[in-house]
Amino acid sequence: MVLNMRTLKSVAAILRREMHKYLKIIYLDAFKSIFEPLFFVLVFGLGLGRNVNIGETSYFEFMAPGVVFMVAVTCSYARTSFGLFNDKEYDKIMNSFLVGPLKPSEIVLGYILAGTIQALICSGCFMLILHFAFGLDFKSTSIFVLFLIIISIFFSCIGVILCMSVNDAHSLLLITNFLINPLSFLCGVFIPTDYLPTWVQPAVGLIPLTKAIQGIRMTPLSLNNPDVALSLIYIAVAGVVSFMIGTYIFRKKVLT
Amino acid sequence: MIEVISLVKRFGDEVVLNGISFNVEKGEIFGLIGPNGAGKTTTINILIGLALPTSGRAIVSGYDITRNPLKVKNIIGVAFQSPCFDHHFNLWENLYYNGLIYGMPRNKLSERVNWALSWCRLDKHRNKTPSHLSGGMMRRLILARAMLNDPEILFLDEPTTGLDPQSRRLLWDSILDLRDQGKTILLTTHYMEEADSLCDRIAIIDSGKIIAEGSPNKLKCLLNHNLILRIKLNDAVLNNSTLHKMRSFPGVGRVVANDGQIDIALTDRHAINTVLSNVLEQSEIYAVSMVSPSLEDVFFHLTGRGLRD
Repeated sequence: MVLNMRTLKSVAAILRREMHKYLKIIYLDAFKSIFEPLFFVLVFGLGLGRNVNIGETSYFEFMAPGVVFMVAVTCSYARTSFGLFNDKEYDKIMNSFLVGPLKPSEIVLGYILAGTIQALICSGCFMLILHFAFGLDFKSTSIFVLFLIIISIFFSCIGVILCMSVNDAHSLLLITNFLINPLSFLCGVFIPTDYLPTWVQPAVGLIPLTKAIQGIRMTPLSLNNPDVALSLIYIAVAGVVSFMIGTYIFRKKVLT
Repeated sequence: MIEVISLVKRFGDEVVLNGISFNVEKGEIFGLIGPNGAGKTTTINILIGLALPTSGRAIVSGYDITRNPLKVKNIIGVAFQSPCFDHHFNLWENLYYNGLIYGMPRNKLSERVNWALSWCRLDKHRNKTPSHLSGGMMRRLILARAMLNDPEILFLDEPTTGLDPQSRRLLWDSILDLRDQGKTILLTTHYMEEADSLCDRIAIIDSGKIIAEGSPNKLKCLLNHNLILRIKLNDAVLNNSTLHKMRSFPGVGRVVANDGQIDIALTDRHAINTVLSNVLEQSEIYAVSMVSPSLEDVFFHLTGRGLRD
């Protein structure tokens, strides 16, 4: 995909439309995205985990940043996959984009950027709640947000891939339940991945969400830390590859 | 304006288009008619860049659709068969956000959206969501959206399917207005009287092949008779032997009986006397009329009466 003025305008057209639509349902969506994770924080973080420490960190401080990532993952994936699916299968407005002067990659990028921005809004709101209501301090916020951005891009791309790979909403829901939702439990949000069975650990370690969560728990949390930089690069490469796969599948599905 | 050359489309082993060729001239309304599954929508999908041909070429305003899809998409407008609007948006927003993809400046786009809503007589409903529109209003909105980028060529896929007669007439007027504005229009339809009224030229497509092409009048001449003698008579005499006897008269072509009425195609108008005197011998005649063959007669003649899937 060559970046020129026409491409930027095309991507911006899809992005603006998706954002305008999002603003119409932002209260409902933000509530939905934040409500469930808030329960995790209250029940596990402040309830069950009251007397638990992971190393020298309290369980609440250990799990809360991971739950922020969970919000970003759920929101970016759901907004892109279900949004795209709705536009393709129910409202069918995808056809009106496809007969316009847009390349498939530009349409896909527009949806991915919209999913990413919406995920950042939700996770940003959640971070504010954690900070002001529960007094959680985020170390190196800029690096934290950088991880949030690239993980949201990655999961938006996964949303495109999965949504374009199924033909009905039931299958999409099934895949979401079996593939996306368990990630929170596997990738180190609630427990360190070292606690998982040893045979699972290598596979879990390859998942970009694990890299992101491990990345933000690294000390020092700085780009000068080679492990942090490597984690960022790993997720970014995974994002680019998944974008290319998503665009390929999208093109194959929409152009018969 | 549109040139289709030996277009072939296969889905696996199934041949949907079998080497069709036709031209659409600038400023004309060209109709593609055919039974279900004949290949009309596939042809349109290839011309608008939603499907890729297996072989052959489709040139739209000088651009090959497979080589320069974006150039083609800039100068075409498409009115889909089924409504495709975002139900979160009102009519104005739906058109505006659709128009954005053509890269128009915002103020120019706003003006164009206002014009489109006014042109399709929906400006009073601009703040409604699409789900609040009637079928006819929805069709007009689809047409208005296709006009947003002021296209040179319009593709209308069954634009009036399911509409009441008033709404259909209103949409016909809109389509004729577009031709008067100099637009080139390619439409598909199942309604023969629609094709007859609107189209300058028609191609009849069946099983992926164009089996006839020309103006409505030229197509009607394909039937080797000029008139149909329609007689209403006693149902009891309408049996196979009567029909067989009718067909044996010189100057008589196809004979079809239906519901106390018999349609006799005449290749020689002098056969009228023979036919009528013969019918009078067997039954009282309740009514008699002469009708010209319709496009539907041509359609049935060429594609048969068998049900298609």
